[in-house]
Amino acid sequence: MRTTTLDRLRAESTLLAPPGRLDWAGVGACLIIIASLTGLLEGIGLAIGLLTALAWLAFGTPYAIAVGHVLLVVTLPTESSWQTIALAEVGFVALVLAPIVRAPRPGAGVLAAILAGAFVASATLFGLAISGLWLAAALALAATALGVYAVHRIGLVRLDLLPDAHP
Amino acid sequence: MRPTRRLWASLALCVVLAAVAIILAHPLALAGIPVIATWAISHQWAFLEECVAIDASLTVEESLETHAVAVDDTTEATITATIPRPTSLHVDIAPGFPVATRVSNATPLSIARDLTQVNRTVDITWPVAGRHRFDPATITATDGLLTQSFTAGSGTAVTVEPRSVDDIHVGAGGERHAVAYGDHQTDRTGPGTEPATVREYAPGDPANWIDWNASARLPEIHVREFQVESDHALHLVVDHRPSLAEGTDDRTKLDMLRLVALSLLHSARRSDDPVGLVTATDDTIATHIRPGADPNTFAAIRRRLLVMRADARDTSPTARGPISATKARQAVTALDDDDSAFARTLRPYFADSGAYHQRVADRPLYEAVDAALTPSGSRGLTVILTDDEHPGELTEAIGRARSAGQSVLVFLAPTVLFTPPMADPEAAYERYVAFEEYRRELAATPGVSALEVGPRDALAELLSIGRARRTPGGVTT
Repeated sequence: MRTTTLDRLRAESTLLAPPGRLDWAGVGACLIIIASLTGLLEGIGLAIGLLTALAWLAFGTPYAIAVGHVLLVVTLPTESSWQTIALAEVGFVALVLAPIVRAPRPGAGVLAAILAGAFVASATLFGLAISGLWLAAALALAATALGVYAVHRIGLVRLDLLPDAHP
Repeated sequence: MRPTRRLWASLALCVVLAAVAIILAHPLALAGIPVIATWAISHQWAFLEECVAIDASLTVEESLETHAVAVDDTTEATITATIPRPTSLHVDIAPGFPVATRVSNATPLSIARDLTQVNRTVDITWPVAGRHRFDPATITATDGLLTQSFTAGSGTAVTVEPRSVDDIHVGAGGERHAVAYGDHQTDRTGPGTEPATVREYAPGDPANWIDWNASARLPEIHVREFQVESDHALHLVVDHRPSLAEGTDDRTKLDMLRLVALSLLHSARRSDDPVGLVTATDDTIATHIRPGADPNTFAAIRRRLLVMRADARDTSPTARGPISATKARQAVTALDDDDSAFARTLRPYFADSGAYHQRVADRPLYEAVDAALTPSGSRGLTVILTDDEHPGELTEAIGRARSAGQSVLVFLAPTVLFTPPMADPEAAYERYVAFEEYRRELAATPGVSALEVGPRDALAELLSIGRARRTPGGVTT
């Protein structure tokens, strides 16, 4: 397998997106994004979808998510319905779940993704419900940090890297 | 798991989206944060699963030509890392080479993505005697977003033995002598465990000294006195200047003298006598361990003796040291009868006899003996292990030890026994005879014993030459 310059630039895992191989699952997710956004916003939606796919191809999944959401923010009104938001997000969710099919244990990977997403999304919605954007943003970031740290600690335990509490 | 810069940059996008949501007052931007978080945590979990699988199945083996080597030997070792199935992670394996070794290539091995095994053969040199164990190898796995390190493999053990010499000869004039070091009498009575004499009770004697058996038989009360057991300090002075490196690879002068020193150390330890060590190189005292009878001192002396090497000889034209004291005295005597301008110019420089002592004191072996006996004032045994390259200095060093009330035991490695091959056997035999005369001269000094140390086969060859020179008629040629 040859590693290209593009592979070196992209923020992707070599485990779930081996360099030098076309990520068909990711391509499929990008098509879903393009289709869902075109259906939602027509011409503008198609442009946003294509830019998101381009960002995915060049810089990887997290950058595609960020670019897509920033473009949707400037396009969609503030008071969008939950159906609109759900249709806009379906492609991004597919983009996140697509590489997990290559994981050593896909079932465990999908479960971890669902739990993580539910945890952070719940914290965000909770913040929006009781206060506003500031609290929601803070809770979303805190929940993300907590989730990453929790997996780190689980990893130390499973790899037996924690020192004994009592000598 | 340590995030790489790529993952940190990706997580920073969450902060960017939060800022966009607040600045534009649009909650949809916040929806991107759970999506990115889900991506990051799901990748983290998949990476963890793969690391756990590798940790459970990866094996690292070190196979060596032999597990028992001698000091300074170089052996080949093959490091093999195996996993049951290929992985998409980049896996580096850093073998846990023992600390006290020199390895030809210590860089980590890498298992390529489509392979299940990697191996490398390296040369390992073992300069330190003892039992060495490989540490578990350090495995570093990364997928570009996360890095994790863990250990694998159980350490292989290797025993490194000091170089031993099988055919060592210790003796005098070709005859082997046993060197005894052990219990010693003090000729003093007092507290102790060995009974010495029985005498009449004198006022002041301790009651527990009373010998009841003798007192019952004799009209007066008698006491039994015991031999005082004293510590007899052993001062080892070892010369490891360049001339001590002469000989073959595994039996140099220093190798043989080292065995003698280790044997004496072992005997002293059994007697619980204090032992000290001073070693001398060309221009300095390399080691000075003060006498002690504790296990740490014995261990330190043993370690130093095992790792000691003869210094490399400096062959530069300027590397000539001062002349020996004997030659200096001869030069002064020769000047007395010379009335030339040359002699008149030099004579004042030899007039100051104080300079003679300073010149002697600059000699490493003399300095080593002096250091060994300072500031100790106890009587003991000074053992000097050296060769016959510096006879004048050795004589002065012996004199220094004797002046401190020490008994002196000298082990001399004659250069003629370590010079291969003997192209001119007759000349070699003459050199050995000269050495033997020198050794006898030292041994004739009161309080001094001098023994030769060398390879048995080389000595036997020289002695056979001597026997051949004595004809059946008793005529020596």
